[in-house]
Amino acid sequence: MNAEEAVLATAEAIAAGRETSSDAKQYVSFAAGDEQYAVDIISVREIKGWTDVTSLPNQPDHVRGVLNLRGAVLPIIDLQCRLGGGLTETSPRHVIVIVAVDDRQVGLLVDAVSDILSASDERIQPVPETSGREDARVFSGFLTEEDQMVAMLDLPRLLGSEVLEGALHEQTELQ
Amino acid sequence: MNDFEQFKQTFFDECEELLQQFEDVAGTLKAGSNDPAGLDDMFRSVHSIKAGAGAFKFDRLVKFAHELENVMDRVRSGRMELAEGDPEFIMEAGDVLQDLVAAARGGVEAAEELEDDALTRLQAMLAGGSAEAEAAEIEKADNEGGARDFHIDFRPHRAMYETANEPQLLFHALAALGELSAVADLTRLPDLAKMQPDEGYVSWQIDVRGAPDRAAIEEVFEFVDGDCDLTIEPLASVAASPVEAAVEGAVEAPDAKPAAKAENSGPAAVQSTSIRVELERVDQLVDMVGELVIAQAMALDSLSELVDIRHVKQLQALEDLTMRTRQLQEGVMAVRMQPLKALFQRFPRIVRDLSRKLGKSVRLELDGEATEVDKTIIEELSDPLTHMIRNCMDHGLETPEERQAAGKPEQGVVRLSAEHRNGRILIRVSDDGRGLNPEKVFNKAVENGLIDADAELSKEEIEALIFMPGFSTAAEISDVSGRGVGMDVVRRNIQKLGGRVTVESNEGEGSTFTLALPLTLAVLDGMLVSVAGERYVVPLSAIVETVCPDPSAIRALPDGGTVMPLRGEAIRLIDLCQSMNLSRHGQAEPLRKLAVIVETEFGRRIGLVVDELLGQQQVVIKSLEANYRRIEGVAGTAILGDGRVRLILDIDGLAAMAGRNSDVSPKSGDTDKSEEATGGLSA
Repeated sequence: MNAEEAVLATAEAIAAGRETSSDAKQYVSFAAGDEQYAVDIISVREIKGWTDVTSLPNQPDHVRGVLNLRGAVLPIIDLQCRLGGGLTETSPRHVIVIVAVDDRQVGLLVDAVSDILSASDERIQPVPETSGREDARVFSGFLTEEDQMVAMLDLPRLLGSEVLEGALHEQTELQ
Repeated sequence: MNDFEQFKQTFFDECEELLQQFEDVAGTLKAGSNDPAGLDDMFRSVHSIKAGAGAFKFDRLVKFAHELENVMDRVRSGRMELAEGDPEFIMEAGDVLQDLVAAARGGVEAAEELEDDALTRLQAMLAGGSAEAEAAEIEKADNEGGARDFHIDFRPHRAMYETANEPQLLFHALAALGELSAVADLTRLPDLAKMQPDEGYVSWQIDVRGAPDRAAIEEVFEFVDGDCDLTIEPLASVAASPVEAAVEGAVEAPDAKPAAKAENSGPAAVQSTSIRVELERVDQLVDMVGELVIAQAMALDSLSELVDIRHVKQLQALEDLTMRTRQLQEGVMAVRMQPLKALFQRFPRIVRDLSRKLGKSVRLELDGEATEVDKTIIEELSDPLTHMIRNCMDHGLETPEERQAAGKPEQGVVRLSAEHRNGRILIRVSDDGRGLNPEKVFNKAVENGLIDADAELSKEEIEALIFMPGFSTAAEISDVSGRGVGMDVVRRNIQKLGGRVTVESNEGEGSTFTLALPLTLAVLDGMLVSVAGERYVVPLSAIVETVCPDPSAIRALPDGGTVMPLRGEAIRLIDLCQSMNLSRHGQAEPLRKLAVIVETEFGRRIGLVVDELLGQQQVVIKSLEANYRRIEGVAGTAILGDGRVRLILDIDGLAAMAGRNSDVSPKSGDTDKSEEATGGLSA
């Protein structure tokens, strides 16, 4: 799905979600590299196509830069790179999913938005403990959808090191 | 919020101002005689608080304010003189009043016995007040023949009705005191056609028989004091037929009316000169104008291709629009500007409290309180400044014994001053204390692992160490300034505002901390520069000049940096391409680069090496930290005419980065890089 289709699908899904009375939550899933990831639809603020960003000096590779979103300056995180893959080769077909975490807005650079998933909490399996990788902590669980494993992103942990650190700093002000 | 709540809100807002006014003068009180105007202000502040509190039935507040008001009244009228210790007590009474207001505002009952001690002392002051005054009172009472019958001439002004006071309620209160007879005097009532519905035309002649005393009657009229003409006389001394006499007087009233009216228009006119606006609304306006500036810049940008003689009229119009947009922006910004007085005036109290606690005699000197700064900055400055002043008093100033030994006056001086300079505001906090001991500071920094023992630092650099995280000179943590936060937090808070803090100190003579802050957080005049295809904004206020260095004159330093000569001065060069870690992606380097000479807050000049200057532009500052974290060397971001985000460079941050890179023992990679850079520049 490109950005426009994704927005339409999301809007439909939200409308549908209002009608269904089940306790299933909705998730927006997207592809980055060869993997599928998903975030709670509630945290998604906007989906837009890739545009050039302004790069920031001396930052980790996965921080692609900052973008002007109607007067607000948002950092753009390359999801594939953040999760240990290489830098995404961007094209206008790439998509930025703008998510909100603790009053902060961040853009996630992904290949494409895949689907709107509806799943109750029971269907989400915990992250296997055998997973030794520190990165596994950025997942809150897995959802198996049509033979494909979708990793649920734990946004505060995923973004914590850069994006939320600033917020923490602000709290350690003078008494 | 219903109307009542809104009135209450307004009352509390006013209370804050009134308390501040009270405190302002209270801080200047001394035993003996005082400035009568100030005393009047204090009296009126307490009086107004009491009046409002009465309306909202905050009984404890009313009671306390009443006693305090009585004391202030006697002091201002010269019937009581402040004894030694009284000025301090009145400050404390102001604190109690503040606590009571705070409790009322919070809708909670103030701590029990909160005001009891102060109340007792106030009452004692009133009871013991100067003997003559008492005697005079008694004499007066005697003259009144112990009269319990009074005649009251009561002429309400329009202002009394405007403050929603109702004569009927006053009459009810009087009737409760004794036997009441009242005659309304309607002689001033004009023809219906000429009548102003909100004017006070009616006056009353009132007789009260069997009232407890004059004070009880005065109390009834307390809240309308000043908003009416009121005379209270013992009944016996009034002419046999008081009402008639009064009516005679009333006949003359029409002549007096214009005068009364003029008097009324005074306060009304004052009220209309300022309005209360929620800060949020102003902020929305500021934001909107900010967006307008961006939109206007974008429009100008896209139309600049039309530069053509045929479109001279359109361009003229656009130019006009630009000018007006800028004026509008300045106007809106001015709404947010406030004098620093609001901030400075809280320090005398802090200093006084602290000097008592520390056992040091300290005088606080304030200067430049009228300097105007953006309200956001004022708010954000409160904590850092408080911390710095505490720091000066705790660590900077010596004990009285030490001062005597050093041949200094026993009383220490802490100075807080503010001024505008070069589009920035400078705030200085200085003391005449012991100053920084460079050796001690250095050793401490080594001890805490901040620097190597063999590091060679200038005095200036050593002094700057006190702003490093993990540095604290306090031998032991005191509850005054050593709360686990140090000057590093002060610095971070100031940096967050786009400001700098520096220290200058002479051992034995004292220290001066200087805060340099932008006037506003919203806009900045910048120079757009380009380096390796990236564009950055350099704050115009920092730029001294731009030069095109002669490659052959550039010298490499042993630490890997480079310098260029400029009129006899060696200027350190900072290659932006390197600092920003940019790669040229095979792009050719420009044949001749430019060095933008900028001044750091230390007054040191450095040269930023860039490819090209793209022009001057006013940019709207957007915080990077709103959604991300702080980046060294970057002061903030700006959205330019093309809608793209550009980084605003932080000159001091860049200088610090370059200094650090050259201070560390160069690793092989670093050496290569800097040599490359040197080579690049001189090529």
